[in-house]
Amino acid sequence: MTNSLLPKILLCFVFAAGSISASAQDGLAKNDRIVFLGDSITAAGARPKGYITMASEQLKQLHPELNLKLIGAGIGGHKVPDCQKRLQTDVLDHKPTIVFIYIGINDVWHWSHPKVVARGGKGTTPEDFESGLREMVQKINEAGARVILCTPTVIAEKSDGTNPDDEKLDEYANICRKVATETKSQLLDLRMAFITHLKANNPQNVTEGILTSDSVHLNEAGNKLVAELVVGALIPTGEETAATGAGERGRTLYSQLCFNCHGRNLEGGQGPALNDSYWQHGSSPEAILKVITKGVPGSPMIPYEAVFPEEDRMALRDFILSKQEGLRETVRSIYPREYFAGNRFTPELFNSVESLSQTPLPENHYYAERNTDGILRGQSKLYISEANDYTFSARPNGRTSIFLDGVEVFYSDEKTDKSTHVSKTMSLQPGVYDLEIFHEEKTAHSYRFSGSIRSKSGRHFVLNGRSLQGNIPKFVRARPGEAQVVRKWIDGLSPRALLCLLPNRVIVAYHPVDGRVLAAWHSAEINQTPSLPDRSAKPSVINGVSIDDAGTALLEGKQIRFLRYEIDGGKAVLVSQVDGVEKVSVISPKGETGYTLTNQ
Amino acid sequence: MNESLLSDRQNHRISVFVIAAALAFLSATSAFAQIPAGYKIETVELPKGAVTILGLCHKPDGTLAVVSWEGEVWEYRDMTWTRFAENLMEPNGIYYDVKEDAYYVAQKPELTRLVDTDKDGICDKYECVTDAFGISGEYHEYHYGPVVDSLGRKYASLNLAARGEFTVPDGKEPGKGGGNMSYNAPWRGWVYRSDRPGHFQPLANGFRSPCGIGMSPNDELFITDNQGDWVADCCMYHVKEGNFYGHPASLPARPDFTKEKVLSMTAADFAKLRTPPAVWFPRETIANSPGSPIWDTTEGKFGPFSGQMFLCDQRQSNYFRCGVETVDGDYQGWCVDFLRGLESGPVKLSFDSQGRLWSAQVGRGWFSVGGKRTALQYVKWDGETTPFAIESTSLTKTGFEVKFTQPLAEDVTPSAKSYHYHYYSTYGSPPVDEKEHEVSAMVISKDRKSVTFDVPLTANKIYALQFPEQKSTNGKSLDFDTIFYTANKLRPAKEPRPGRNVGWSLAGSSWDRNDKRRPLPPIVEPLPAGEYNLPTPEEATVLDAAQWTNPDWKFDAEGVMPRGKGNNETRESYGNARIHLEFRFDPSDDPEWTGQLFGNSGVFLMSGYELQVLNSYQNPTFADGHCGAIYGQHPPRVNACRKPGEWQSYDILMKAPEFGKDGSVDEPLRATIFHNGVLIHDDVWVYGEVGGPYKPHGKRPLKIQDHKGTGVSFRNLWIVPDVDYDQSLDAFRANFGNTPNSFVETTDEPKRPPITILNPGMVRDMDVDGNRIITVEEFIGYRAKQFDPMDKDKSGLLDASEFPHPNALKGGDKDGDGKLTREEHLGIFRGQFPNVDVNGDGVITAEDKR
Repeated sequence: MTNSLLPKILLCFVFAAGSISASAQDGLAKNDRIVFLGDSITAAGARPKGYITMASEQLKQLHPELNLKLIGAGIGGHKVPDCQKRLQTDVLDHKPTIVFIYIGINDVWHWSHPKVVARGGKGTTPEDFESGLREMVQKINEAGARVILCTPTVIAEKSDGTNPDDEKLDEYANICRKVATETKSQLLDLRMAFITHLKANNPQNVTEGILTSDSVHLNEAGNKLVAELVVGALIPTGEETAATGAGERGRTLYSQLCFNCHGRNLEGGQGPALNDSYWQHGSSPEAILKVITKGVPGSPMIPYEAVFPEEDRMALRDFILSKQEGLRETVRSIYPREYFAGNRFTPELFNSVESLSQTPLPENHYYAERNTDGILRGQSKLYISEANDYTFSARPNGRTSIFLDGVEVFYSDEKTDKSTHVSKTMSLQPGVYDLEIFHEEKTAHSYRFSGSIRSKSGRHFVLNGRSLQGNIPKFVRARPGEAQVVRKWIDGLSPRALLCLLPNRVIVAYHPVDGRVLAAWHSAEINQTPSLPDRSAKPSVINGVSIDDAGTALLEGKQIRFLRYEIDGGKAVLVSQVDGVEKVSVISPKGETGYTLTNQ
Repeated sequence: MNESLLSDRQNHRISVFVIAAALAFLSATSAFAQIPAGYKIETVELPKGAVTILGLCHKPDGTLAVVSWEGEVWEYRDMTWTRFAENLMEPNGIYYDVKEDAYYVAQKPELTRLVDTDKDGICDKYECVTDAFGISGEYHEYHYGPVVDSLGRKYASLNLAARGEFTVPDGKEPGKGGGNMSYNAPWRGWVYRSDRPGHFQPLANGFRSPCGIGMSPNDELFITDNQGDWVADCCMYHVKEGNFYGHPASLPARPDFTKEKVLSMTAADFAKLRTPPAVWFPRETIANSPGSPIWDTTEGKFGPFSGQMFLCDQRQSNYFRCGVETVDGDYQGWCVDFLRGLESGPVKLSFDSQGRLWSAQVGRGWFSVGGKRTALQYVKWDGETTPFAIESTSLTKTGFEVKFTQPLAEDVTPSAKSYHYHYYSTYGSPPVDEKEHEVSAMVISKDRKSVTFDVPLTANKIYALQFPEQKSTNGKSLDFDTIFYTANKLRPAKEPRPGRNVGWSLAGSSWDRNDKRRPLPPIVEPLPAGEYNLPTPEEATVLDAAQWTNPDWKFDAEGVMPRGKGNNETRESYGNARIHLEFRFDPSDDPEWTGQLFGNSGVFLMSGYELQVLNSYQNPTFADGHCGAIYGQHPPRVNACRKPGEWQSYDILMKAPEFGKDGSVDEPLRATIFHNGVLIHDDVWVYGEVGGPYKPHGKRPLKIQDHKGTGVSFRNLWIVPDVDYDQSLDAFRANFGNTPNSFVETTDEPKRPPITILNPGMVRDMDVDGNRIITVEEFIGYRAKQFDPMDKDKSGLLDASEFPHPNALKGGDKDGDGKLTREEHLGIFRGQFPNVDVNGDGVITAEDKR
């Protein structure tokens, strides 16, 4: 028999999917011709290792069938008025379908650049900047192409907002944002992405060398970042592209900016994952919106209220919520036992009694603290993303009730037949449900409550787990432009191994006593989550694609004594004494998936 | 309306009940906290994220540095945290070196120096100080430290493994309540010293889990250990170079032991070898997992316990105090609880410049009473209140003297109890032979702050001296009314004369000069002469007759120079040098000429630093006067002597001491020495001249000593002057088949992947040798062990109530009596093995998958 429950709470995004077709802003079509209009940054972008070249390569790899053509149209020193003059010849004559406008640096810089000022040059006034952009967007749209409007990046890279031109750049970037919104053009907020990146990666507050070579022009890391953002702007996030129409705006914003830190699929990166079982700052819609709006002090997560209007922030929140599954917003309360003896558990009964404690849990499951004496009440939201048949089950320890939207869907106690600790099957529609768990057992040391929710298709949400306090899932991942040497206990590797993590995500495990490479991986990261829980003596894990280099000798000699390691930008420098002579070995990245070893 | 009123009233009643319950809970918490009057605990918020701190230290500028289990070093300055270093492997302790402006941290596989070369507040150079100890990858192979002596040398300790192939059961009660610790790799269970990057000197062994390590202001090393196999209870050792402290698994690292020899020995054999703890810390009462000791050097800023030792305990979430005194030549002493109620489990302590006692606290891995996963707290004193406490105790010839911080009120009624512990391979020992003792002849001092009384005394006992309900004259009660004294020895009629006061020469070894109790170097076979006699290098100066100044020392036709009258020195002066010489003792069986009189001479490097020449073949003498000793300082690592009458050799590489402009020692003389091809000194520091501390000097002649006693001759002496010591060291060692890591066995073989087909708990219990291969024997053996505990009625048969798996019972019950015999019980699991051994190769490994 099937028990059908109508969800009481449904978030608007779930049903708001209007049209199934992709919006005009989105996606790529066959034979798309994409022109990049800009200044010297874009001129360099069309060279080998420039951002246009890189983006072109990536896109060709992702969509070889589309026959895309990327065309650079950047000229050094150009400002908006210069671009207006050459729009026809340099852009429209190429018959583009998409045009990136990445301009504004010189418009700002030429107000203060000593050489320009000395020869009487000037920047562009905000009024001319805005009207010029509008005119170009209009002309491009009239020619049948859409515009992706970029905000100007940086003039000097200090991450604390104290570069001399920061204020003016922000003013001009805001003009871009405004024009993009008002002309319904797609915005690629390069400036915000740069600032976010620099906050995370420029702790020493240097003016250049992180993303630029000279405080303005992009270095390799900068070109790489812009290339990723360009690709991100052209290819929307997520696979189910248009199934959720109202999530559109949120997804667009996410793929322009947020993915930099939180991963293309919310899986996390420099920032925490947004789809896993740990929510440091709460998983409720209010909590998520608050973090987007107010930021997280002391972290690269800045307050975005200055950047996005409230509706955009809400759209971002809804996009994040649309990606949730399983339990969220868990609250654990403990109630005194006495009052419930002999009474059937109901939410109403619990609501009439004051709890001993009430604790919002950052995890998406329940656990009790040692020596908990009382009855556990767990309250949470259950996010269901797939219409299917679901069952609830709990291990028969003591007395357990589970309520879904106020209706009891599961009950077991000592008298219940042990074989029937699985609920009846319920068909659930996508949506958000109120879930309540009540659990009592005799043991006073720790609860053995254990339960789960399963669907026919194999979706599985666990209701119990361990505390992850202090155990935030943690990865060690490559940082742009900077190598790391990591010592971690990895199963199957010598505990002496030095894990050289290069900026291209290659990890080389080097044995400092043997002078040998033990193993290497590309597209790799170290997942140290298994080692984190409280009593865990488990090793960390390397996720990555194995490179078959094991055994390569880096050093040869009778006596190898390891002396030290240092980081030199993207390279790991290892110094050893080999038969009494100091030898410097350098492990550096090579391409996307390789590394080189050199000895000096 | 009525209904709602009723429910309101009900709610009200319930609220009252809830408040009462909450209050009860609060008072339970405060019962746990016991804080002496005048002291206060303060908490400092740790940086966000996963930071579980394991160690801390203070810089002179007030900066506090902590290391975290997650591998980071954080600095706390002006109420803000900054990360100094990251990606380290479970660093378990940190030390800041003022002179070098660098941190030293004990990572699991390496002692590391962290340097911030560009002074931007972030470490950019990670230098290996030493990695010359083994590590098998077993999780419990912790590395604790370092602590540092007055010469700047680093000391750190190495945990045994919890699982592995070499354990030492004594056959009596093996493994009860916990597995035996295993020696998986060299130098586990040891404490070592590193004088400088690249240097590694194992010091003493017999430790199990030496989590606490401390260096007293007098350069005495103390280690605390955790109860377990061979360690009856938590305790603290006074560590002296060369001693064995009780856990036999670490003995195979010594050249005079092998694994086979250790396994053939009994607890009684080990008991003869071992040095007992200076202080036992009674389990549950004082400590379960003691941390590092620290000495109150705050000169009163931390209250009235100046000079005492403070410790902390991870499980008990407390600080406690401790003191030692010399009884019959060795340290022993007392401990008393001091303060309880910390948030998590303290493991390391540090005083800041204001005299506040900080602790790094961790509850990860092992439960702490405080409950939190980690915490950073400090305890401060208000600068005026003297809490009423037992200050210390001391053993008298007939009982004890106990001192208090405040005068005692009337009614002083101490009680005394004694007990001892077993020494065996079982996990921990209960108190044995507990006795209550009558307290007699009590005398209270005039100031009423000290009590002496008599108690029947026996050596090798722990005495618990309790002052129940004791009040001070101002009506205060004791927070902790019991002090524990470890009486390894009783007061002798006459305390032995202390050794010669030679602080300048023996820093860190904790031995007196010429101490007769210092362990003699283990006897090993010298290398066959052909394997180490090297040709004289071309650049060498041959020290023939023309090179020596004393005409009484004459070379004969064969180039042999017997010892003559008066010392003999070279014409030339030398500094850094590579030296070779050969010597031979005249045989003698005259009982008058033994010990220091059997062939005594000496090689005086740079005229002042003596490498002893003495027959030590079947001729015992004190350790630092042994053949090959740096006389009065370092015994040789081993005794590689040949018989009198046979030629022997010394090969010496030495670096001259370096002096500053003010005459201070910048770097002491360093030497690496082989005796008959066997390494006897591995890059040691010489602490001073044989007759006294360093005096600045330049190059000086090489000298050979004249000494009373039987004859000794020399030949084939040569010297290569002005060698570059550091550059030559590795090659020099390699001449004799020694490489810097030659003592590190290859234990770094990649391990098999873990078994996944069984749950981790079963794998742990079944895979006894931890090799990730479960054989049929291991699979069945685990089940066999379960039979007796399941057989509740001890009938030798399992019935349906004892084996509640009806189907399995039915299948296994071959004789159909409804019960399982031992064999039938095992039969069930033998039958299951093929189901788990999926690939049918006869063993369960990672390759077996569902």
